[in-house]
Amino acid sequence: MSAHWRLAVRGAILTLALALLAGTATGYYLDLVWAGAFLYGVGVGIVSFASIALTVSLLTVRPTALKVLLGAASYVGRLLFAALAILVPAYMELLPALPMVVGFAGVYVIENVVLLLLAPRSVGVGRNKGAERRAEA
Amino acid sequence: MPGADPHGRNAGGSYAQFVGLGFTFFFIIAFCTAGGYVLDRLFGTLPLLLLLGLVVGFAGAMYYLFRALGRLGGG
Repeated sequence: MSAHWRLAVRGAILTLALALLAGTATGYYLDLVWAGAFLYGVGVGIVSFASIALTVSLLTVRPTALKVLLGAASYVGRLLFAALAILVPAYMELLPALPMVVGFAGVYVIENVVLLLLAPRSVGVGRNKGAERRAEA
Repeated sequence: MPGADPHGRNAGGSYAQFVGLGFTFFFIIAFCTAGGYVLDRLFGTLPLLLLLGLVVGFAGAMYYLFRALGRLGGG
C-alpha cells in the first residue's frame, strides 16, 4: 500500500471514530434521524476525501497521458458524486439536509487540519529541491 | 518519517496540494454559476446566464486543472 493510501485510510479511520462519537451524541441528545443523516454525510465525505488518494496515485505514480486524463476526470467524478449523494436525498426529503452537510463538511475540515499539520514539511522539501535544481543549472 | 513515500516525497504535502486543486476547481464552477444566477436575477433572463456561467465555469475549471496538473507534474 502506497503512502497516499495509508494516509487516506488512517485519516478515514480517525474521522470515522470522531464521527461515531459525534453521531452517538447527536442520536442521544437530538434525534436518531439526525444522527443517521450526519453519519451518512460523514460517509460521503470519507469516500470523497479518500478517493483523492486514487487521484494522487494516477497523477504521481508513473504518469501517462491516459492516467493524467483519468486523474483530471476524477475531480469531476468526485464533485458529481458528492453533489448527487448530498443533494438527491436532501431534495427528495429522505434525510434532513443540515446534519448531512455538517457531516460532509466536517470530514473535510478534520482531514484538512490533519494535512495542514503534515504539509509544511513537504513545502520545505519542495523548496530545497528547487534550490538544488537552481544550483545544478 | 510518517507520511513520507519511498521516493522521499511527503505524502501529506502532495495530498494537500491535490485537495487544494479540488477546492479551487469547485470554487471556480461555483463562482461562475452564482455570478450567472445573480446576473439572471438582475436582467430577468433565468436560467440563460446561470447555464452560461455553469458552462464557462466548468471550462475555466478544467483549464485551471490541466495547467495546475502540468505544473505539479513538472510539465
